[in-house]
Amino acid sequence: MFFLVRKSVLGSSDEFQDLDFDVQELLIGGDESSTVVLDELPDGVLTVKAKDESNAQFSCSEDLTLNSNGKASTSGNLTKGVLYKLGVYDIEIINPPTGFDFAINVLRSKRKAEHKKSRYIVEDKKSKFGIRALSYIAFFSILILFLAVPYTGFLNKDVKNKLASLPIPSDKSWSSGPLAMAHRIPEIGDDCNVCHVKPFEKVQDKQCLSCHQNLGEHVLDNHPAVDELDQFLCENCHKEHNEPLQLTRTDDKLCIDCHSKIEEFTEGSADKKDSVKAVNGFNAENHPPFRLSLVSPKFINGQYEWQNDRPAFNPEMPAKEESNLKFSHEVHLDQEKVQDESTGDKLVCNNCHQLKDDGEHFEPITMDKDCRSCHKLTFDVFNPDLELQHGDLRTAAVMLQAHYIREFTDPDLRNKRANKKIRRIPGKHTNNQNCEGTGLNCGRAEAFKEAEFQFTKSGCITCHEVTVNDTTDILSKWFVKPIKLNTNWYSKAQFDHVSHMSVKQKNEEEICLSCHAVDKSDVSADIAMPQRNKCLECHQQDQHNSVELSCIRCHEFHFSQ
Amino acid sequence: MHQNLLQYKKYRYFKLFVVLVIVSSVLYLSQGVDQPANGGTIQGYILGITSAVFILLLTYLGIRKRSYSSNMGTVEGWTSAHVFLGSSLVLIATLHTAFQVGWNIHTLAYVLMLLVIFSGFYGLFAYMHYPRVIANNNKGGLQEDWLEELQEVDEKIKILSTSCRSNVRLVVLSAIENILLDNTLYKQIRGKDRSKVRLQSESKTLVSNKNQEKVIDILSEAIPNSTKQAEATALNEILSLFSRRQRLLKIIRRNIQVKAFLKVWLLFHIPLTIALLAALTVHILVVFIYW
Repeated sequence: MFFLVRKSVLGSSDEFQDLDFDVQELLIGGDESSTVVLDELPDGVLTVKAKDESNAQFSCSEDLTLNSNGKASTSGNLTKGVLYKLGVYDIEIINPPTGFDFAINVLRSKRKAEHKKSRYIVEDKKSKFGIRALSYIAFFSILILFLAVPYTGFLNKDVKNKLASLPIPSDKSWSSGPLAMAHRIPEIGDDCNVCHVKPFEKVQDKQCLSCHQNLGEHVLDNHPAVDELDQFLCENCHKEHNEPLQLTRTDDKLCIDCHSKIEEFTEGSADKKDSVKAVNGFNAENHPPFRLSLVSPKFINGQYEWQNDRPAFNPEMPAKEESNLKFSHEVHLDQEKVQDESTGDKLVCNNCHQLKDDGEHFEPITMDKDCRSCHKLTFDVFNPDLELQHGDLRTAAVMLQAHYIREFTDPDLRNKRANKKIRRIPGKHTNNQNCEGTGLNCGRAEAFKEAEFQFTKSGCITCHEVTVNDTTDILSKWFVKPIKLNTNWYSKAQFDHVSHMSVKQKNEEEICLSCHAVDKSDVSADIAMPQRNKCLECHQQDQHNSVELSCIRCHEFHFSQ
Repeated sequence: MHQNLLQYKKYRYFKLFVVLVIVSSVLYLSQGVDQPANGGTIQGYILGITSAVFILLLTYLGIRKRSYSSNMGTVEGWTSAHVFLGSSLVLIATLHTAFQVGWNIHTLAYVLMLLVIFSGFYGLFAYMHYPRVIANNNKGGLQEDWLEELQEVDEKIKILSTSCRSNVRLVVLSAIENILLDNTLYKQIRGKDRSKVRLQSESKTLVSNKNQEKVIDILSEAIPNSTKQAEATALNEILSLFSRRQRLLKIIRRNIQVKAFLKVWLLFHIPLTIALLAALTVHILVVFIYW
């Protein structure tokens, strides 16, 4: 097969060199072994196999490609009328002159430099780490080290333990922030899966409660909002891995979300009228009046019992305390009437009311601690140091009988007393010195008289409510009603007395009385607990220059057990 | 008047940038009521989702602005958007972190993002500054022209060198052979002229021919020692060709160096972007794996 290859010279249509070959296929390449040597070609050979005058098949090897219309190909068909680029050369099929089967024209392309660029390589083709390689390495390194490896450890504890000894990231690298202080113990800090048990699931209450036992619920078991509250997770309020370190949410929204529409939750409640009122914040409009926690005596089945109650606030009918104690704050705070035993000064609140360590409640008032130093239970003027047993009626009565029977049966004692002139003491019963009858009967009668005096005139009756019946038995004639002093007036709230005791320009006494106005209270039934308005004087929400109170400053979410 | 890409369409994307800064700042400051500012609050989620969407969008923009055949918007517009949205991410993502950092995948993603953005800032500087440097260096020509001329000069020197004494010819040919244009990015950035020349045929060592000075010195010395007129003429011509060659190589090397400046940041910007995509994926996944 006769091929004609016409090598044209750039820029001149007249100058060309015709080369003829009698071969089966035309090999065009840069080196001498090719049929047609085009010395500016890169390595490789273009093989052209003619089909007819206008069509041929071609294939390229090594670095060579044939470009037409912007597309590079290494094999295909050559068609007449199309200009192909081979490196710096342009190739096209032309009409073969007589005697030739196939003819091509090879034209040197415009830019000469391209063909020798290989001498001056400026592209970096040798470096192994190109942009693409670096990208792949970075992408897969991160996915493997920070996702695949820790996740495998999460799925398999053995793998996790083995990986722990290697200097590679563990699931700790997933931590979004430091743990709360209380949780920084090895059992939690070293093992994320103590809390994070299931992937893509929020930390469940079960995990919290496995350590935090005896936690108070928010409502009682029979509360109508129990179902709604069950959907709440500890996690809703307690945010771990938070910065700044604050495990518990303190915002009002936490409470108001439900309590602003509390009616919806308490609907169907057994005691609807007594249900919690809607709250939107702490001010006169949005917070209901405070409800006192009262303790009142109930006589049920012959037994005295104390019942807790939280009646709704009724400004028309202020609540009364029913402690069975007779007591006047007014008298005790009047220096004319009562003075400090040792100094003679006016009594102050903390002579009796001592704050507990919680800063909110006070130590219970007791006879021995707070009253006895003045209200001694003496009964015998000859024995001014001898006191009756307090709090045990039977023991006191038996003691009186024993005392007086002895007095009337012991002749020495009687003589001693007969010679002793005693001064009558106001408010004290003076014993009968003369008695006709046996010592036993006289003693019993005297004991009864003293008991009657104590229970009806002065002594027990001074502070206690006493009931009397018709019997003549010293052991059952009088009944002293038990006393229970309320120690928690606002059981659903908390208050810090200590921080409030630093109010400016007031002494301690005035500070106490500014909230608990007992100096004008003559009876123990008066309840001197401040109402909402007292707090609002300083803590009016949304008011300028007011100390804002968030809900949980006064109210705990978890009720104490 | 010519507008650069920052001023595109009367600062369209700069205005968007300002709006984004204000909106995200307000969003951030609205936190703290329920709980401290955090990536996990509602506002934190919004800032985080915005950041993630921006990162994906910007990655796409990076591809889009290099695909010149698309008709969707102009390259200049896309680039302007790329720059300003990328810049706004510095703030939006920082607010999403709520300034909480630690040795974890979340901060890794954040740091990678910052590296991508700051390498992008270098790229922006390079794109705005270096084309002018290249144009000034080229003085109206093109790198291809200089290379072409260099080859022609080489060829001419080769032909002329046949009229020279063999020892001079050896030096001349070796000077032509032993120029090396830097072909790794590192060498291109350093731009050190490592041209060499062999002074004696037997010698294996090559001496520095920096700035073609050595060969020019040798030629200057060889001219007075020429014994033939033809050789002297040839040497004179070769000398002037080497002077031209010296000039050409200077231009070419500077072009190569500046083009490397233009290219080098991509060596960081793109792999870091891909690394960021991985870290971002892990960040989002693990936040919910350990919810």
